[in-house]
Amino acid sequence: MSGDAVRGGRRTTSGTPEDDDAQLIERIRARDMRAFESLYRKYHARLTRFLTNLIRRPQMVEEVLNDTLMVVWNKPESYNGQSRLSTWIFAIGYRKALKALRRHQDPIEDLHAEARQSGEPGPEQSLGQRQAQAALLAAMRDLSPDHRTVVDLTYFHEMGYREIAEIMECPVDTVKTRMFYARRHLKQVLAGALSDWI
Amino acid sequence: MARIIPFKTDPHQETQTLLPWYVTGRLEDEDLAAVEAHLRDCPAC
Repeated sequence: MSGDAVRGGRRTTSGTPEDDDAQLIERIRARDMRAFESLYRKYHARLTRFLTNLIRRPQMVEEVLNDTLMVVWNKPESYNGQSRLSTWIFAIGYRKALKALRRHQDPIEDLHAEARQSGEPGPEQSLGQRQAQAALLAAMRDLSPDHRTVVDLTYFHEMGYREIAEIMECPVDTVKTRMFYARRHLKQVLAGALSDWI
Repeated sequence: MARIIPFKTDPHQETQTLLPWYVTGRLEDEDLAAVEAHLRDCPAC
């Protein structure tokens, strides 16, 4: 096991992502600020994409993101280890986002939704995939936050329905039903080949 | 009046419902087997 600390120059252990997460939250419980910084770097982009798609107001996304990560730092003991750490963090983010949306009930006119890409495609994605994602994100604008969340977590975060049910604190069948109606809407909005992709 | 009609008993409907997670590879074994079995037999799917 010697050399673990320097192997590869980036990771200090050779475990699975779940192992890494378990170690991170353990160290955060011990008030290790560097562990929190690692977790922040690890989840910042994913959470930002998730919250941007759900809330669609940049300044509110920032606020909810910070609130979410502050819960991770201040109440790490409320993670019971029964689920993945990412599920717990996304569930906090989802609750904070719904609360923020309720506080600001005013309808939003998202003039830049067509142009903005909250999907942040990675370099490995082809142009076709990026266009498909952009079209899907635009079509998702009219969905309710609940329906949008199910679609987003399924397609952009590749989560299973059980994990999504945990995050949204609802029955698995509710997740499936929301997806069913969301897809029906998206198929109507998306034209041609893209509607088959959904 | 808006009531959600349960469709669990209809394998075709159930497959349609599960397709998003089939596509992303996130179906659990039991559902995966059911979906694959239905996809083999159903021309529409």
